[in-house]
Amino acid sequence: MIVTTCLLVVSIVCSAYGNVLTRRGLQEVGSLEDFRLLHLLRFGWAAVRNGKVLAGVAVNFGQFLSWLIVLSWAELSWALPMNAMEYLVVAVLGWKLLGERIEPRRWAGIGLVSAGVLLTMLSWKAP
Amino acid sequence: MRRALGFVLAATICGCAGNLCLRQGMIVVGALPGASPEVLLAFFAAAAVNPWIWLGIAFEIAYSLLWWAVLSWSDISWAVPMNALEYVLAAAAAYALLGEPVGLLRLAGIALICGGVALLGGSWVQAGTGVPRKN
Repeated sequence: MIVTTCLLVVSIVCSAYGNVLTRRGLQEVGSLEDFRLLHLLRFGWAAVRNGKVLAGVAVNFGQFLSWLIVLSWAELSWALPMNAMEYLVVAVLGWKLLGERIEPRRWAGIGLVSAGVLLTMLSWKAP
Repeated sequence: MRRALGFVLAATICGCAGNLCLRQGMIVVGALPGASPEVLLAFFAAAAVNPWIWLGIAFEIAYSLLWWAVLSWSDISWAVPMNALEYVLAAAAAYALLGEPVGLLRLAGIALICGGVALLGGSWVQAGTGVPRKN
């Protein structure tokens, strides 16, 4: 349970970082407004040629490999909700690194998610 | 907004189906027994030839494409908390299809997480800090 949780935390930090990269890249690519095949292909091609999108995808691939390891050790109904730790990681990073002020409503949300993650973690059963 | 909602729901279902396939694949492959390079290599080699894993990857790619489309629209921060739906859906599916014993403790944990995510809302996306995982 402890090792699996630690691996999940590493994987979540990777995932958060990969998502920031992908998001920055996609903001450069632009907004998808047209769903005809040609436009979808053009959008996909532009996304694939963007360095930040590619770097984000590479980080997310590493995260995928660690997710496979987690799934080899844990039940899906345990492992998937444990990913909600990402909300905590992002909230703490935003608070510490970006100096975001956390309103009472967000504190309440962070508290509920933390309690939920704790209960889920304690429900561990080695499959 | 209805378009975005449809995309988010489709993404949620794809993500859930993908994770079910991945878990089924890892049941077949077996738990990673150690951390030496040879063990890791054999583990990922077994995963790479498992059809469940590839089916899971296909679903995950569909999930990513759908989410990329959603995230390319600005002003949809309300969609992000919908991600927590996947925890509920996956727990139900894992119980029904994989026979996972989802106890009261775990259900309570998932319920608290969903409540918390609803409260957090999309505020963290507006801050430009991230997008939801996945997995």
